[in-house]
Amino acid sequence: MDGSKNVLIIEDEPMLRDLYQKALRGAGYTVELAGNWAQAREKLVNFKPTYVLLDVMLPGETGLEVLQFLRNDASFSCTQANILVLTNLAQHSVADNAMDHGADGYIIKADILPADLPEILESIND
Amino acid sequence: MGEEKKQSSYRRKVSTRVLSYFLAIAVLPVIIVSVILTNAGTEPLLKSAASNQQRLSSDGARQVDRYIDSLISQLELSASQFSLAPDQLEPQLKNLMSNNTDLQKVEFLTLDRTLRTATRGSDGIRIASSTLPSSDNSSNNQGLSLMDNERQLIDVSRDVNNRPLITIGISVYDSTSTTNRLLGSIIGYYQTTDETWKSILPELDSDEKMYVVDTDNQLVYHPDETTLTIRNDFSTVESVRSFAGGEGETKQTISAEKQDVLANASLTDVGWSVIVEQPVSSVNGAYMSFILTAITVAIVMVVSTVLASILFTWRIASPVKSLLDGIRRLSKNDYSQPIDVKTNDEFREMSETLNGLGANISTYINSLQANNSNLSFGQSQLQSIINSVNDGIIAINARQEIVSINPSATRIVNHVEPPFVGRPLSEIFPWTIDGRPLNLDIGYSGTKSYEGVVLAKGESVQYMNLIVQVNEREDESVAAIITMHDQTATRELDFMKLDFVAIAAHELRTPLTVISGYLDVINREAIHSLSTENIEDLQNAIIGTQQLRELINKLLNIARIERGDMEIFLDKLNLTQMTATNVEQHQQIAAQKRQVLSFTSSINHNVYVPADPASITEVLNNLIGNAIKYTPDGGQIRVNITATSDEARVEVIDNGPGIPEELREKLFSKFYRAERSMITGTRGTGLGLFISKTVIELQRGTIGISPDQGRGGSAFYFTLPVYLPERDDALVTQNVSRGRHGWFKKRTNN
Repeated sequence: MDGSKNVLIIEDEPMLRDLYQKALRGAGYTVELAGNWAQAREKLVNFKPTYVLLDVMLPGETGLEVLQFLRNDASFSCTQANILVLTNLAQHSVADNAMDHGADGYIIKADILPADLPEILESIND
Repeated sequence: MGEEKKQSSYRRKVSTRVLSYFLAIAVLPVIIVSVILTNAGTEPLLKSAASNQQRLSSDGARQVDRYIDSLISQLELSASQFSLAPDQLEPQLKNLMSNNTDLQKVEFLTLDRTLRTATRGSDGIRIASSTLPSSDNSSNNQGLSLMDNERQLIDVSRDVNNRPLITIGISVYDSTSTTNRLLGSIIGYYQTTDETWKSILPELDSDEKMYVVDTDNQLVYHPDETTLTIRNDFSTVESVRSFAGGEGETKQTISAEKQDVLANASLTDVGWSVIVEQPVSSVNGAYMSFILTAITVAIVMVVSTVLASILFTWRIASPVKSLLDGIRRLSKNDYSQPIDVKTNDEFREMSETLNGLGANISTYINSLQANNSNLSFGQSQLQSIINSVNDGIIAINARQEIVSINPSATRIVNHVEPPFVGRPLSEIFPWTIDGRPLNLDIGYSGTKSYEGVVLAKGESVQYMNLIVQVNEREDESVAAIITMHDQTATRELDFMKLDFVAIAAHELRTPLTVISGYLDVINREAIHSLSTENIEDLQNAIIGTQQLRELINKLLNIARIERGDMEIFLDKLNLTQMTATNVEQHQQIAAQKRQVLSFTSSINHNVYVPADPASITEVLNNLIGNAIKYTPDGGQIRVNITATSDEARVEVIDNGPGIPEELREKLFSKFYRAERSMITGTRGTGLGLFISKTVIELQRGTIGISPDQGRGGSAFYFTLPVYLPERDDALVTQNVSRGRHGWFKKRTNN
């Protein structure tokens, strides 16, 4: 990675977006927020994320669809990004599915505190 | 039809056999006798005739002797009474003659050679007297010779007609004087008539003939001869014997009449022969008549036997036929007509017994039919019940082939083409249980139930419970009855319930995550901005949020367990380290109750297990959390780890109130909490131990409460298999590791 700390959060729950943004900005990350795929695509025009936090349950295109776009379409500059899937379902089958579609990890939202996020992101590259 | 023929031929055989037995009994002796007789010929008869002749001739000779003796005695008696006075002699002779009509002539010779002769003539008895010339000597004259020799004379002489005269001469003595002086001699000439001879000789059969020959071979008596002449063929005794066989022997020869005869001769004392003759033809005739008699007897016996056997057959066979007809009617279930046997014997008794039997059978059959109709009514009712039951019912035989199936069961498998009966059960109902084909065990008798049985029906799946009732092995045709209770709807309802729980829990989590997130944010800033009291309030809010999150997690886990969706991800887990860490994390909470919470290890190395870290964390949280919760303030809790070569064991030992024996099993069931929790007022869902038990068992471990060892308190433990690389490396999830907060791809480099 180039050492930059750009995080794109695609999460339809505004308050969670807010919490994650606060935690990451506090840790020195540059954060962009999107509530759905359309918003995310707009952000990606000028934003090259090193991390993408992607909710699997999205209105419109689902998380898995978005994951495929990001992984497979180089125009989004995300093919090499660390993409972590966010969910509350906490089922391995969902995680497996996400992993199969190119995710690097899987975060159970209820099991973490937003403050844990910087640590988690760092641990991916350990 | 064939049977009728056969039966009548049996009957014919019986009468034929009876007849043949009878004939055999009757005719056999006749045949035997006839055969013996035929083989023996006339020989026995001839023998019998010969011995009869021997006896006859011998008897005849003795009779002739006796007759001559009687003549001598008579003559002696008469002579002994004679008086020699000359005037007396003639009347005495006349008297003698007239007293004995057989006497034809009497010659009385006195010592003075005076011969007085009395003769019987047509004009009466004449007496002549003469003197013998002196020249006559005794050898020429019989009278003189008698006086000289003092002997008896027994002879046969002939009269003028050449008829034989038995001539008896004796010496006459003076009976009045003691000197026994000879007076003279007397000679009597007896002419013996046929009547006399017949009275002398033994009685004869008509075909037998007896005659007498004297020593001079002259016939003395012959029944057929009026003028008896010398038989030239009887010239000597030897010739007589050669003719008649002689004393003791009967000979077959040719008679004077040129006849084949049997003849026998016996000699009298005076040397005469008594000869008996019988034609051989009469013996043969007797034989033939015997044969004829035998044949007649045989014919009579045969005829009477045939009649008797016919009568017997009729007497026996006709009641037997009646019986047989009656039995045949009984065998054809015709009980209307009783067997009619009129005879007053065992047959009648038999027929009456059979009639009674028939009546009994008829009654029995009627009651059977009545029962049968009751049964079939009951059966049809039962059938309609079985048909209307919603549960599928199948009867199978010992080979697990379908014997019977009710409509509900056929509706369950409406995707399968009928028929069902006769086909293997597993072909129509390919049940599975826990993903494996269901193997029905019918090798026992009793009831067994199978729950959660799945029946794949093309695209869809049907869930059901089975109750298998295995019969006693008396009825081979139906080995077991299977009742299928459809569980699909119930199961769907359960899943809906679980889905609801899952969705509700999930939906709760998002706001909870938001709340706990903001609380955390506030908490981090609190030191700078909040009063001490507010900080304490905030801490309580954070604890409450954590409890809520744990509860929701438990509910989600329960839902997963119930759905069978509980996921376990094995890793090579350092159980020693994890337990120690977990104890450390709980120490702050224990400290709040002034409890001493310690970790000890009975072994001096780290224990690795193939386990799911997240779920083992949950188990440790549960056991240690419970211990803290239920042990009174100031109590002691020790968490100990130990291991053998194949099993790791973690034990949480407290000095709390302990668990009553009877509750130990129940504690691990869903929604159960020990009664003490109600007493102590501690809160809890009771779900923790159930979840712990489930996940530990999913990881091939055990969980439970160690037996009381008298030290009080309780000791919860769980075991897990010790990590064996050769066995467990393959089980460990290879490319994904589960972190504290989620899963991440394992990065082998970097």
